[in-house]
Amino acid sequence: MTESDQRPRDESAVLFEETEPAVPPPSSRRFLYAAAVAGTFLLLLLVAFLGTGIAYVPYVPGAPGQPAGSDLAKKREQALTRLQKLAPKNTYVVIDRTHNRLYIRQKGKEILSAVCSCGSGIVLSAGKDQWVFDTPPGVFKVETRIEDPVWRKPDWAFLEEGKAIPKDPSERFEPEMMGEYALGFGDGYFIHGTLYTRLLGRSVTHGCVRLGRDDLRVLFKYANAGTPIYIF
Amino acid sequence: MVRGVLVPTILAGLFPLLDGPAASDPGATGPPGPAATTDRAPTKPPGTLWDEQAEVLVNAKHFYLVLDPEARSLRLMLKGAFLDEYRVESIRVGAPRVCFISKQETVDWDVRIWADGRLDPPRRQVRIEVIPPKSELELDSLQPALPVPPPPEEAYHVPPIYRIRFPEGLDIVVESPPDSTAQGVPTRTEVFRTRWLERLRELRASLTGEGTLVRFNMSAEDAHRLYRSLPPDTRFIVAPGFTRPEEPKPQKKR
Repeated sequence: MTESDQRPRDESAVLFEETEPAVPPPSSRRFLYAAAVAGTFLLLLLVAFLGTGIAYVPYVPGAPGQPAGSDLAKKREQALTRLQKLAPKNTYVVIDRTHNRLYIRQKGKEILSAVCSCGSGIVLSAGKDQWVFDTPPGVFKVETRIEDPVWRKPDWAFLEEGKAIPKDPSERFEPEMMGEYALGFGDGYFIHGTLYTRLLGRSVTHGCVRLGRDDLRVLFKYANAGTPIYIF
Repeated sequence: MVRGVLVPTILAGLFPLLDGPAASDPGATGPPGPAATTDRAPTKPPGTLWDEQAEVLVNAKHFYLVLDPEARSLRLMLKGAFLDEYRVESIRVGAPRVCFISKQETVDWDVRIWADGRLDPPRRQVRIEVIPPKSELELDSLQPALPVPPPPEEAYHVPPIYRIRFPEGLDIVVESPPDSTAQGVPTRTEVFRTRWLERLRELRASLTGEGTLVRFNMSAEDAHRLYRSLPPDTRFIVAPGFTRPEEPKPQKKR
């Protein structure tokens, strides 16, 4: 007989006898399994998400792994050489419409960087007629160089002021509106001076390009007839 | 038992993603497909106009961007004339991957001319339409004065991440740090939202295999100038050493 067998037993001791651990009910077991499966699935999904996408590597020109590039690279070199030869060799003008800047460049150097005003983009609608006041993008050339220009007001200049379009042509002319010089580059567009210098740097014109007095003098000095003008 | 069924299902679902067009169908090029590799029959690769050589760039009225990776320079040009320049601080090429496995080889994007580049999101220009007054009196009494247009910094909102998309299969992702002059909750929220949207787009791109992604990191100033000024339908080429100053020509001996 063991020591435990000799111990007196009473009814209260029977209630607290050690028994085997209780088995969880079936519903709890299913829940644990479902949670484990869902957790595993979510973990796999997370790993898949983190490992999927675009991996960026630093670009190295002429890196190996581009076996089809060699012939194309040679063609590219030839094309770019031809392109470089076609670059303007003398003075040319660049106009940035968005930021209202004008540059004069000559043989790789910048002669002038100036604030200007370009087209406002406003649309004027008068019956069947419509005018869009944009400075046109593209390549142009200086076609005319005028000293002491006189503005010949077009129809829209009268309409937007509520005035009747004059029948007498002499009523269209307004001197001293365009500054000391005007350089025309086609279709009625000019680079000229302005009385409204405080508005330089803003897109307020009807399509022409306005410059301050000093910058206009420099431009007139460097931009001869035929000088390319690039507008973007 | 449940786990034994679900795990293979998950792996089976991932197989189509792992087995992309490059692996399953070597002969297919796909829209906009990757370039032909050396072991494929030669096909016209996307985004290339080299059979017309430089004529397209020189004679066309399109603007084009020239990337010089050596000088970290991106130049806007037209007919050989330099218009504007933007500094690119880093250039990275994207490689799609699924579950850490690379899907396809990177297209040799840097030896092609890419055409019809457009901004995404597009730059929105607000046009004011004016109906002229019937008389000068009406002009003075009824018509409000037209407001002075704001400067471009205020007129055009530039997202922290935007793309220049070339429909033939190249996306240039331009990222810049948040504008330090525009601090505030909306800016931070926009940056957070934009980055998450970009992440989702990259996720989709890796799964669908759409085109090549090249990422430029630029300063806020240069990224904003590029976004505001970029003309529509711009072309793009890569030209290492293009911005190198011309070497002085040797003088002829008399």
